Amino acid sequence: MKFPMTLERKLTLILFSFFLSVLCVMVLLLARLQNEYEERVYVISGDNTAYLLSSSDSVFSGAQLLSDIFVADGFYQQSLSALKDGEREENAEMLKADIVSHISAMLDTSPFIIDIALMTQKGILRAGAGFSLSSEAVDEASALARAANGASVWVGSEDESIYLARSIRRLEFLSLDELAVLFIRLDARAVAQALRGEEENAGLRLLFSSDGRLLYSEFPDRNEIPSLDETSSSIDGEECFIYHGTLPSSGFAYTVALPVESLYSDIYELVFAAFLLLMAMFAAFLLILHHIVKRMLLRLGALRRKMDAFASGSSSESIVTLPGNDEIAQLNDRFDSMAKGYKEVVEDNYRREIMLKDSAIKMLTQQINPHFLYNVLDSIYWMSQKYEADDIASMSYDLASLFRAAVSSEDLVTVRKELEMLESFLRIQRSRFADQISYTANTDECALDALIPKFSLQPLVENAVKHSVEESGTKTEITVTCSKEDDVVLLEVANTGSAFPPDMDIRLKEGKASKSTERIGLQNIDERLHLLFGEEFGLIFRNEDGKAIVSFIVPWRYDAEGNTGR
Amino acid sequence: MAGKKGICRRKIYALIAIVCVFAVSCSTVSVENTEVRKTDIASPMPPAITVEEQLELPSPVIVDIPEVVIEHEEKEEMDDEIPFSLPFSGSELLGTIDAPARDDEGVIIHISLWETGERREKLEEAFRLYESLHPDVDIVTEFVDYPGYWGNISADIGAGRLADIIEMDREHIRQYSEKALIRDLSDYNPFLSGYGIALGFSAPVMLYDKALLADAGIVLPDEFTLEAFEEIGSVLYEKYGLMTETSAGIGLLESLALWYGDDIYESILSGDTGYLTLYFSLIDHISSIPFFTSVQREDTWNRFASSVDIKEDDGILQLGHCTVEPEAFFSLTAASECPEEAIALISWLAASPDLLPLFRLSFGIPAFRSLDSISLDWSESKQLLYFEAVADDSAIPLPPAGNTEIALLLSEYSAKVSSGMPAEEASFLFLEEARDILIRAGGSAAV
Repeated sequence: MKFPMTLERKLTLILFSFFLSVLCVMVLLLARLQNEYEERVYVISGDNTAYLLSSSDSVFSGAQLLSDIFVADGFYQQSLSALKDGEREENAEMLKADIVSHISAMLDTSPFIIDIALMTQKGILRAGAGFSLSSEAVDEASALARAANGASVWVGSEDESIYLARSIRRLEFLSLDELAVLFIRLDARAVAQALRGEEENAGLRLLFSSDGRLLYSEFPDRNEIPSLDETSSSIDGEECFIYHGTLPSSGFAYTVALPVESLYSDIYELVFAAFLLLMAMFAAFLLILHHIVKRMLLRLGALRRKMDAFASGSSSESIVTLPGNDEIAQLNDRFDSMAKGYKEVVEDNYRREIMLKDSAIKMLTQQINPHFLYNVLDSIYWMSQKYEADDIASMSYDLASLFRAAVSSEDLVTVRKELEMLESFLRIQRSRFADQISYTANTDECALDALIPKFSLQPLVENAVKHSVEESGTKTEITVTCSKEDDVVLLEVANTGSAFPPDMDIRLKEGKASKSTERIGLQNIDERLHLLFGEEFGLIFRNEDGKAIVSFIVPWRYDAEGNTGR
Repeated sequence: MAGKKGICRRKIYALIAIVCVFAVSCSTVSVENTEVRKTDIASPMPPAITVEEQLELPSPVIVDIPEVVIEHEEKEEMDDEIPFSLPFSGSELLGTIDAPARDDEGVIIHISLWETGERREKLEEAFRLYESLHPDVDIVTEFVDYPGYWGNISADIGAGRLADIIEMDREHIRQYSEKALIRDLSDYNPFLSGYGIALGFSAPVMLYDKALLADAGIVLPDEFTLEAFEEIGSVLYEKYGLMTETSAGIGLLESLALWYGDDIYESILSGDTGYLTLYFSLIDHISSIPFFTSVQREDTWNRFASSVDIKEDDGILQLGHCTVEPEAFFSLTAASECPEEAIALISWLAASPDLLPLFRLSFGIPAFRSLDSISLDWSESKQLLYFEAVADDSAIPLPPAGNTEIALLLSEYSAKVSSGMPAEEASFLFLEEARDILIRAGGSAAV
């Protein structure tokens, strides 16, 4: 089934497509905006994370500074040197106690340092919560510290502690022999918990490493530790931003996983709300669009109904003023104007048609069975020939000629032909009125081939005969003039013995002249001239020099083949 | 070189002779007409004395370690010394991990220096120039005043973070090289030798207020004895209330040792106290004179300085042995992770002609730069002439480890003598303690 694309549907489709495009663009922009926002959030969160980690950095660098005291401070240098150089036992014990008391005091410098130990040849000098490293781990860390020539070495242990190991060497005379190995234990879990103090950092996962050694990891599995080129990863099914970097003071490398959800909970709601708002706006737009199209097409519908009514011939919808001044209103006005003109033309044509029909009827009524009459006249002509009645023969011949011309289908005949018919008519009339009628034809030779309506001169002459000879019995002199002027042909019939009424033109227009048959003839000619050549053409009546003159002009058209008509 | 140097020395002598022109005897200080002396002494030569006219440039001097086999004693492994196999039964260490690759920031060269004032500013400007010429090099400097410098370096060594380049001096270079804390430059550049590169050299000098002495009508004697020194000081103290600075301390002791033909550290180890008692006697005598001071003060007419400090108006006098001293002497540390770049930097500092307009003679007589392209002002000319005249480039053994501690000990006992301790007792006690220091420092091969 073909779905008709009405204007309403087309308009709706176009506007819908347009706004759908706008909606798509807005959704794309929203998506782009969100993407941009995510990138910025990633960067800003990275900065925040780096800032957050700076507090842990201060813990580590604080431990580093603390260890510097053990390395270079005169007390430890002297005490440990004395201890190593073999003081007496009682002095050694005093030295140990003194050293331990100093260590204990240094424990208070940071809440994250939970143990400090000095591994000396004379034993372990320690203060704090104790160690949890195995002897193998201690050996390994000590070896690393020794290889570092006094620099700090950081190692991580399975108990979520980070150990700073450092070889303390004798600085006196730059002997550089080892006096002890320092171990500072930091509670890495407490450091991490302190970092997670803020609610938004609750899901933070941390990893610290130093010189390629893993110090502390909150990633559940070594395999889940994000690689260095990853910026996001799924950890325990949770989407996280991944940050890698280096702490500026301690030099620790870190990897941080920050759950995305904690960062985007607000923005997701906002995006969802924005999407809903867009959809609501879209729905509202559709309703408004429907209303606008309806309203727009309402007037168009009125115009269409008017056109339909016009097409169907109903006049009930015509000339209805539509509100507004837009194109539809202008279209309506144009249509009204056009309909009005069309109506006038139709009515005019209709009137002409009626007139033509009337004229034809009148002619037909005058041509009842013309062939029969013609045949009768022909028989009369031959019988008068047989009985040598020449006058009857002549009259019947002329009458037959008139009949023949009357029944012919031609509308236009040459002036020459019309004059021949006129002479036939006058010969008949002379047989009736003898010498009462004198006839003169003044014609330009060049005008004889001009085409004029058939029987346009004969009724005029008949009218002249009727109003002069027949009514008053006076002799009449009829003059027919035919001349060519520029592109028109002037035909004039003048007669003496009668005069036209002064309001003859008006009476003819108003049809008052139709009361008599001769007037019908005049009216017939006048209307035929109008119909054939236009409103400006028609009969003109005047009285001049005792003559009643009727004239008319026709456009110069001629019979190029010189036909004389039939 | 000795011949050329002799010519220069004669010219310096002639210059000094202007100062000493009115000396009548080696032990007598005469007070002359001030105006006449001003004419003779204070009328300077035209300030710009070009080097070409005066003398040839000194040949570069590399302060080298004497031909002593330096063996870095490998320390015994501590595993055997410290019972690390302790009864721990805890957790193990975590393993390794791929650490984030650090950004390629180029080479960072760390330098520790003690320079101050104008010399520091010039060095900093030179470093900036070097960084601009080598964009991949970042120079990180740590300037520490000399009193705390070596303690800071020592702490850095203990902490395992010694800079790539450290400023060095004669007192420490032997110790540091023996401990393998600095590197032999020839290992990296066959055109270099020894354990350091100096930007220039200087000689010790006593500077005095020439105009003041002329005003006081004092003419310095040809042979400058302690009595003459005391007499001049007495006159200036009475006339102007000015103090006289003396060179008490390790410098005086070294001079006495040289006078006796001894090496101070060997004599300490051998227990020879002859010149030590003399030294403390001199201290005792000096401390008894009210206008003598052994510390630098503003109200003195003289000061013991370096030839680098010579100014246009200074009177200059050579007192004692004029051992060539390296100025801005840089060593490459064993801890450096970028030795080639560090050597390139200090070689550039020492030899680049581009730096001559900047450095001029701020770091003494340039070691590797020709002075042809610049005109020297009067101060610089005096510095150059004095150095050429007095510099003694004969090999003097570098002091062993512990020498700085001995110098401190000497100052301590000098103060005690000034406070009344008998010279003999001070000599004995100092000798004992100094000997102990040397032994503990493991300084002399003779030990």
